Amino acid sequence: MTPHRQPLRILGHLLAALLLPLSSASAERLLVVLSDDALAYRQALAGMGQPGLTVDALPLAGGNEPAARAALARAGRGTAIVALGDRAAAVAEHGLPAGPPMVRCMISAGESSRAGPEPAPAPATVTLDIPLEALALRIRQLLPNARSIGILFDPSQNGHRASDGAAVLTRAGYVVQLEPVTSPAALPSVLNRLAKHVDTVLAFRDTTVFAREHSRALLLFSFRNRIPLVGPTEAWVEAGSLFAVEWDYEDLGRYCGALATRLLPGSRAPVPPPPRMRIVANLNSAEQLRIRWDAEQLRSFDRVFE
Amino acid sequence: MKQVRGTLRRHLSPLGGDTVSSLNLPPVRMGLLAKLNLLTIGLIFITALAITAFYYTQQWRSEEQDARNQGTSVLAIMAELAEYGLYTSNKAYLEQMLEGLGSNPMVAYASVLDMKRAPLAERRFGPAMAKSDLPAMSTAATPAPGRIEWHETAANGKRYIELVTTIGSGPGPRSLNSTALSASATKANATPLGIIRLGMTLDNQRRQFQEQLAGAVGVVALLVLFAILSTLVLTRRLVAPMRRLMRAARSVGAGRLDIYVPAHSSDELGLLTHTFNHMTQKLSESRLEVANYQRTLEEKVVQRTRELEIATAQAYKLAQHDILTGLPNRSLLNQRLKQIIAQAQRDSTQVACIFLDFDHFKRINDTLGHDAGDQLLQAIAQRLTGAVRESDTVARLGGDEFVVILPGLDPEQATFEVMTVLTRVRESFDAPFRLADQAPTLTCSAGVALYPLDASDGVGLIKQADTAMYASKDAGRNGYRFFTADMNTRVQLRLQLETDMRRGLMDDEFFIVYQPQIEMQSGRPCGVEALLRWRDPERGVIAPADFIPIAEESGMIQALGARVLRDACRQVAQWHRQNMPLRLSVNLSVQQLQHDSWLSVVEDALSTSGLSARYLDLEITESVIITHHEKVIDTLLKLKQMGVSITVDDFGTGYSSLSYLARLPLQSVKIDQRFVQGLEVNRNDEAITQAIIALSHSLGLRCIAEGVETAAQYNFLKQHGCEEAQGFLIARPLPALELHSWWRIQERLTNDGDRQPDLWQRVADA
Repeated sequence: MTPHRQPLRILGHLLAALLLPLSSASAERLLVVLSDDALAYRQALAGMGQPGLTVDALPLAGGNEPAARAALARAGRGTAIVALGDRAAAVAEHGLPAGPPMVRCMISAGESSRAGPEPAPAPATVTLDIPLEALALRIRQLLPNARSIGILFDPSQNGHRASDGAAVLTRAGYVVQLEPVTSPAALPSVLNRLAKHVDTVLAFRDTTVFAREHSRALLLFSFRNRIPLVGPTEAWVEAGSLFAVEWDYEDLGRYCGALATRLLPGSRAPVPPPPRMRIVANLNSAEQLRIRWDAEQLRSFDRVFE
Repeated sequence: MKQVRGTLRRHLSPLGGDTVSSLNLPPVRMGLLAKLNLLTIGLIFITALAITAFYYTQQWRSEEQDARNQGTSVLAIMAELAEYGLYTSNKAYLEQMLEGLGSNPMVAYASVLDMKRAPLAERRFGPAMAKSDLPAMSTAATPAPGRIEWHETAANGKRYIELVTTIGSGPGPRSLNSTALSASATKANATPLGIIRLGMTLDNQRRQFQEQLAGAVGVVALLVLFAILSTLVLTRRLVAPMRRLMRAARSVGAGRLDIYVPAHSSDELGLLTHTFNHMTQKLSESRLEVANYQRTLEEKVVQRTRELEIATAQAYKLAQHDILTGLPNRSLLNQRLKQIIAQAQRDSTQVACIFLDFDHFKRINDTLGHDAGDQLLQAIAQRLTGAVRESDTVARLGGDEFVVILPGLDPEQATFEVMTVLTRVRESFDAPFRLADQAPTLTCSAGVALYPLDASDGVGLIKQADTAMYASKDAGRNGYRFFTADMNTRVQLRLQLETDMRRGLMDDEFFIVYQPQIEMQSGRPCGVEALLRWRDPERGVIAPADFIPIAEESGMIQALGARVLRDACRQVAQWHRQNMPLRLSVNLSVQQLQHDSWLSVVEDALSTSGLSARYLDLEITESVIITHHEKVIDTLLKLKQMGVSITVDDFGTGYSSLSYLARLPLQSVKIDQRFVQGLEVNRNDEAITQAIIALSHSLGLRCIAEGVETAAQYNFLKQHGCEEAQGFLIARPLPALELHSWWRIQERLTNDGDRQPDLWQRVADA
């Protein structure tokens, strides 16, 4: 999908969602609660549109939370709820009376879920975390010379994932050094340590280490020491991280929507296929880091920053 | 304004313009007050300027340094920030980063370039830079990462401090100029990513400085003005006492010593004022003392002047007159003679100069004593003055030489008038003089010269008269001669002879001959008389009578006599050593006897030659004994004590006094040859000869006859008992060698027994 066609599709999905309740009161209906107006949520919303399915968006941003709660309260049978993001999940869980099925989608990994996008008991939850094996595989493909990998993480946010990742990477033959960062002040010393022992740093999405305000320091660490920073998001890749593996959020929306309709009573929908992952890379950073990718590797990237 | 200028001019002028003085003081171009004021004002002005300039220079440097420091800090930060932008080639990031510098008013521009110096991001700030390009970047090599270099650059007439550094991986530079980085190890090997330029401008600071400087200059100007006014006031007050002192000093200089200057302070000027008052007081007292001294001095000066005038008059008189006689001396005589001749020239008259010299005055002076001689001269002066006219001049030239000047003589009657005066003069000396118990009589010899016949001036006139006087003396004294031209010729001949004698003495032209003396009874040689001869190379042998008087007058007789005595003693001593025991007779002149060193000359001749004194016989004339009685006797006694015998020569021709023969230490008497040559011719001479022989025998003296030329004379003398004889009959005066031969012949004859008492008779007959 090319980036310039995506807004049109999103707009089409939004119009369809608004018109569905008027056209068919008995049809399947999805109430999608959006935590905010983030692009990923909008992409996911756009991916939920299916024939015969009414998708109603309930954005919380802009003071719409009361209206969203009211809409959720009116939700009846034949309506499934999809909460996009942690906030939307919290609002939906709090205001949702027992009855309508709900899928928590694009939930931050945290310590709440260690599972991937597998269906979970109600409420079903789809996290944002990329499967660690897939991540290890991409590291093997794009950084064939990597031997030791450092993992920066906030134990309060990614402690389990970090340990899981270390286990996966260790199994994959890497030397892993876990560097917990409990506060931003500890970051410089951790980086100094890592600079002497690792040749790759793996980042997990969090708000402590990979916060926006630390991006320059982390990226300069990467450039200065020629230690590729992998992850955590496409925005970081655009800022200078070497590459990241992310979900295709539209496809992720499709997946979540399918899960939600499948939870509706009487639904016989099959289990949807897992959502597709995207690889985004920064060729400028690769050049600064003296990394050369061949043409096949370059073709495998879903998006490239130059 | 005019009044202010006048006040200021008066204030700065020397002594406040109070320079008009009766004293002749040099002009004062700039007074002490003006100098002091100018110096102080100048120092204040210079100090203010220097402090202001120093302060603002330091401030400006500090601002520049601050700008550099600030730029360094900013650049270091920007370099570190830009590192990320360069890594990510994020121009938007870089431009956003540079945009943040706009809040710093000192930043004029900033630029990030890649290592190829291609601009990646650029920002200009301020209205000046907005319309102009950035200054061209230096072509010098870019600094190493971590180093910041700065230099001054310019664009569009504005100066900028440009700081440049290279952006490399790692922390940015911390400070300027090779400051070490904390991560130096990393930075040293850092990969250069790009270049960042930062232009700092001091326009704002410059504007602030200009505003501050204007304010500061105003404040300084006010301070300087205040200082100048204070200086003027203070210096005026400071110089006021000096001005009072100056006025007082001028008054003192003008003669007013009753000045008192009040002292208003106790500082150095007060002390100076007190000292000045003390000085004026002392000056006043000193002036009174000086006035007293001056009055006393003037009185003494008047008195001394009077005394000096008297003394001067006396000195003048003494200088012009003879002290002894009061007559005009040679100086006054010359002055008067000049006037007289001038007058005679105008009147066509003649002037006579009579030169007088008194005969034998010296002898009389020596005989009577010098006091008597002085009295005699005074008496002579009186008689001369009395013998001439009032208009005539009598002067004394010295010794017994007088000059009489007869002016205004009629040429026709000049000779007659002169002779008349000469007669009166000579008659005035006819009467004997009265001196104590003596009554000597004087005669004079006079020489006369006439102006203009004999000389044209006074000195020549006196000289010619002197020459004439000598001619008169040569003519026999007691007479007068008028000057004639040939007198000068004779005088010149005499002078030539004297000159030749001096030359002959030096050239050894004088020689001695010896005339033998024999014992008349035995006929044996007993002595020789040494006689001096002079062989002039041109004139031949000159007789003693021609040169002995000249030798006596010129004083050469001393040298000649000493030489004769020395050579003769040496010769006779030599003969003695050759068994020729002869006695040596040597003639003495009066000058020799008068000389104090004569005795030493005799002693020296005897000691040098080795001749015994008893073989030396000195012959003196009667005149010597008479005229120099006391001194001669004393000398003769000393000679006798030495063993030298004395013989009276030419006995009977002078003023014979039998008394001195008994008193003097004489051994023999020599009969004058004039009596010997008159024997057998003149009865008187025979009688005198007999008497002399008898007299000498009676006095126990040996008698010697000289000038024996004939056997008759010889026999007569021998017959009457004369002991010894000499003369041509016996032998002529012989040179030493011939005398030696003569002696040998006489000895041989004596030894052969041929000698007979009448030997000389036979010789004469032969």
